Amino acid sequence: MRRRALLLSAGAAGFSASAVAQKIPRVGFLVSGEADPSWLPFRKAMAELGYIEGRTVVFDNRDAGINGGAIDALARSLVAEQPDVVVAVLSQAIVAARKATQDVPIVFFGAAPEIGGISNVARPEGNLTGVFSPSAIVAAKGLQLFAEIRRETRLFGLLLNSRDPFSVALRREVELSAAAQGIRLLPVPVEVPGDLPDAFEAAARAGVAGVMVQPSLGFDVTAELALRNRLPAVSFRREFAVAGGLMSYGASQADNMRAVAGYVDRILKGARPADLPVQQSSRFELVVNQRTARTLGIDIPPLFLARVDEVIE
Amino acid sequence: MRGLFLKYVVLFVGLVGGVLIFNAALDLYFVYQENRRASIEVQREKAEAAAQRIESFVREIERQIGWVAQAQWASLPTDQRRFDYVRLLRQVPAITELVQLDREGREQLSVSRLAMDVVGAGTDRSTETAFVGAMAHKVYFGPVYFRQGSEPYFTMAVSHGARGGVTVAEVNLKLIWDVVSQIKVGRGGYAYVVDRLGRLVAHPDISLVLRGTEMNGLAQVATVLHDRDTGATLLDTRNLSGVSVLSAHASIPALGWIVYVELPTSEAELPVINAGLRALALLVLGLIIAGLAAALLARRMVVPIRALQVGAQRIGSGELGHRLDIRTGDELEALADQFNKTAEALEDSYATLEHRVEDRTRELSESLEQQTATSEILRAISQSPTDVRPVLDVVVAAARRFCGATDAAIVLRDGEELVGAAHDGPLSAWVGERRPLDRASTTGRAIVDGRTVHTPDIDALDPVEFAAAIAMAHHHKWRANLVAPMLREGTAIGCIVLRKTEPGAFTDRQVELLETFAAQGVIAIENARLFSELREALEQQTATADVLRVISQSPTDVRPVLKVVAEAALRFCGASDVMIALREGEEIVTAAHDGALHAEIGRRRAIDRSNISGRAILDATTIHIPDAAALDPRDFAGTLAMSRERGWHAALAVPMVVEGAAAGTIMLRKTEPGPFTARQIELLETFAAQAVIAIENVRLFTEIQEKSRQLEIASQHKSQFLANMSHELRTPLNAIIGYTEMMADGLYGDVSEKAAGVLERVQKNGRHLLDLINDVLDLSKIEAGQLVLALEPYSVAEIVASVLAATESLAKAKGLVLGSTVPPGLPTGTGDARRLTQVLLNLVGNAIKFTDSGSVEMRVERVGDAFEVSVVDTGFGIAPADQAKIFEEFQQVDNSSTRKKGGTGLGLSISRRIVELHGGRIDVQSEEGKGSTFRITLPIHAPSAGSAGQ
Repeated sequence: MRRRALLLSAGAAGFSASAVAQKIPRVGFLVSGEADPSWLPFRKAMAELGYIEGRTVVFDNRDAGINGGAIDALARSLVAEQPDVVVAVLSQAIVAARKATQDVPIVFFGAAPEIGGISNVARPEGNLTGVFSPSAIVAAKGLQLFAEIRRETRLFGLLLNSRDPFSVALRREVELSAAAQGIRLLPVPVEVPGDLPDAFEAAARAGVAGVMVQPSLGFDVTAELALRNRLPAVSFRREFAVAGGLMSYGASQADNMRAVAGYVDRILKGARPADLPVQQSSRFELVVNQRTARTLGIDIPPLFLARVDEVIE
Repeated sequence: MRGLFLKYVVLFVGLVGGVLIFNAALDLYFVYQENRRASIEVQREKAEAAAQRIESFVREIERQIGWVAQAQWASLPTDQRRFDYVRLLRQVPAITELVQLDREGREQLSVSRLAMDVVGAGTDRSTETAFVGAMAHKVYFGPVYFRQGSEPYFTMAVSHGARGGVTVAEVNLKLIWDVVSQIKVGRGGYAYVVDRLGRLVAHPDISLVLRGTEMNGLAQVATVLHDRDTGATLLDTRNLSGVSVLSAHASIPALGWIVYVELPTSEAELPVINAGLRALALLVLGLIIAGLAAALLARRMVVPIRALQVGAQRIGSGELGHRLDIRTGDELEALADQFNKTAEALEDSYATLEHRVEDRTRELSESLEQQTATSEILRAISQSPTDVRPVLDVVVAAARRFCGATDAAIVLRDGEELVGAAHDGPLSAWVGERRPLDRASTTGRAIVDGRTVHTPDIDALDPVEFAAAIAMAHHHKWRANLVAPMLREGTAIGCIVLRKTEPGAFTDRQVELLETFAAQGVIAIENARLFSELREALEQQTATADVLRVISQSPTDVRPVLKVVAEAALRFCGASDVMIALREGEEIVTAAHDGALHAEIGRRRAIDRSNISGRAILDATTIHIPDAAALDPRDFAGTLAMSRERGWHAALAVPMVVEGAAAGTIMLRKTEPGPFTARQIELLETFAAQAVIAIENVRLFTEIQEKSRQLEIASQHKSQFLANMSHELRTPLNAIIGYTEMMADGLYGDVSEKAAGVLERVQKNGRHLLDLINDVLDLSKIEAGQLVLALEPYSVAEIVASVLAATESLAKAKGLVLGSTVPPGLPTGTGDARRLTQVLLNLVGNAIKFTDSGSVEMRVERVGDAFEVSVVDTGFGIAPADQAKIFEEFQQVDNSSTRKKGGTGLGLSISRRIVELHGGRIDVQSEEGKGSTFRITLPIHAPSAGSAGQ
């Protein structure tokens, strides 16, 4: 799963001499979990801001895969290339990037400002700032939304990436939400990607009414496994529903990455991370896969559909 | 004539320049006014456009809410109402949360993007300003507040008519921020928005808004807010960073907000400056042309005037026969004729004057001479401030010359002796010799009595009483003398003597003159004395300062300081050499040396009473040896051997005493025997004291360095440990717990009953460990001041409800009654709702844990500006002695029953810190066996993050 792409444009021949003479800003991109759902919108947002890949900006994109094992080493080698900004996406990447450098500005996207070690969001101290989506709270809301589709839910599975520090907060919040709704929660930790099939089967055997999947476990494989086990599944990102998951509720990653790119742009233009307040995602989208619903024999009530931002047929 | 030429030119140029400047100024004034008006107009338009955008943003939301805000809507079925709210959320992305309150202000429905949807909560919110405002005015707009510390929000409420209740919406204001930060005027212009109280709502520098900056201090904001009705404005003013700006504004009537658009004055006035530069160029051109014209005109005037000047000059220099010849036919020609007549008249009267002058000259020269003498003496005094000899020589010479004596001399007093100091004249004298001071001689008598002694004829004196004086007069061959004492503060320090070979009295004038010379002599001597005292004091201070400077420059090494001390001691105390030795255990080591004798730096010797430095150290007193030869060989064997070996005969050793014990010595040695003066001893002791400061300094510095290094290591270990706790310990532990739970739930196949018991124990201990780690992390965050509250509005009733929901199953498992009493109409509080929930959860959890039968109840009351939340149980209670301890870290009431209950012992401590961060307090009342009451007193509005974080 490890992949390294130095996206230096092959059309270097077209460079003008002056463009080469000034230093081209270098942006390191470190992600734990599935890379494309974050990487593609980020690249698009940078292009919207007028950056031309290979000509006015160089990207150094590294992803650690969903088990995140080698992420510290990845972060160190990324910083060794002396990027002007490091973008860190999801908890493991944020923690690794913080360990790797205290000087290079870091713009993060993650679940809570605490993961970045930030206590004052209005004036982040140190070399990092970014955007967070209150994912643990959103997850609690996601469980409530799920319960509206399946009112008979008594036991609900939560698939956690046990190597991701965010799993602790996520579990706490969903546990509280479940308790308030009278639902028993079954947390299922996953250590390595190879454990995923067993985990889904175990949840199905236990008779859960549905599962929630922590995003850093990835979307494609998990959505497929949920379908195979006939489990209605919830996650936070649109990509999950597109891949065949029943529904997703969470901040729009396109919006998040646009905000991240905005900060990267400002830092490249000389702003200091300490002057950029940590932002919170403010747009949340609810996506439902109608095809999956039909496959699983689930009727989606009209009140719920009123809430849905996008229906995938 | 250059002057006249210049005047003409200046006048002409001034006239032309004046007209040009006036013209340009007038022009500039109108350009300035026009430019300013245009600039303000543009800014006002931008402000109004922004105000309109914000207003329409708000009105659009109001309109959207208006779709549901109808009286009969409130009576629709819940699902329908919920559907409408959900649709509203979809249509207006800025709304994050919608709450329906009925006409009594009770919460009926809450739909949120983030929080759980709640139906029929029934919480009383009738006293909240949103409800009251909407009921009174149909629409209510609240103040701006921040969620999660950085998300700007405001509350908007729309009434459904008198009987329909109210819809309350929480609106995200990021859109307004975008509107404001996109406004651009010129290069440096910007816009911002303040609310009706003058608080910043939006600004391109978001951090200003997040810090809650008050803009009332700015004149432009204060003026508009103060005279809202009169429409008063202030155009020229300054912004937050004190830069002068042009300011325009527009108000948003619906919200009472004001949009300001400001442009730095320097940028706004750029066109005016350009116009000014053009006017200046025109002015310079005009002045050049005027200058050329003026020069041409002036030249024609000046040529005949110059001829007049030359003629007048020749007459003036004595050429009275010269006549002028000017034919210009105007006033200048008449002037030339007048000159010619004057020259004739002058020629006649010139001859008579010369005789009168010569007579006066002679009278002046005599009185001059005496003054010259006095001034000579004063000059000598000023030229020779350090050495008194030259002055005395001049005084003696002057006294002899002006007082008409054969001979003059000065005698000075030195203790009980007289010393001949200066002499001028043919008679013999005793310059440089010493005589005893007594009244037998005329000089002695004058000095002892402090009066002038006048002897017109020495032979006329009583031959018995004045035998010595007469003998001396005969020896030096004089007959008459006059002695004037030199008095300083009433005491004679010497005298000045006039002598004559023939008898005869001195005139009063001579006596008076001599006394004057005596006084001047005193001045000279005093001068020299003060000067040398001053110089010595200065040199000593310089030496001390040198030592202190080296001390401060060399905090870690004592050697440079000792070197400087040694050099200074040698210079001021004057010996053959100086040596500093330091004590190291039972030895002394030579540490610094300066001077002609031999010494070996780094040489070690045992401390020994037989040599003087050893003795000085052991006794911690100064040892003074004026002559080594006189020492007792039994007592000072070492010293005697050393003195023979190195060739010195006198020594002085001063101990360097630190806290009563000597840390070393400083020792002076001389090759000639002889005592050291008291002053030398005192000086050496001073230097010893300075060396002590340096030694102490180095010791303290080293100690502090070592301490701070240890502290740094300790703090590194602590941070490392905490980092490990959070990321390396918690994560795997979570996995352990998860897997155990799955095994216990039978997900990996059946588990025997025994194994299930073990798994339960693993699970229980794992959870306990996780709680402990979380608690320690929380506590360390609080201690490091890193825990910052996320202040936001909260409902205390909701917190109590959520705590009830979370603990219900625990209470039920133990068969306890769990209840709450929350009065209606409690105001919305400001605080960190999640943290407060954590505190209550902890208290209620404890209460359930320590109560085996009976009930646990939460009671909320409002007391003044605070909530009082009590958790009352019917458990074991806490002994009075333990009640203070339980809020400390890792303290639990220690008895067998509590040990069985487990717990980290940190929960109460964390709770107390969180409550204190909110500006509140927590206390306990309890009686053993009858239960406990934990009471939290919490200000309704917690102080803002900045002050609470301290």
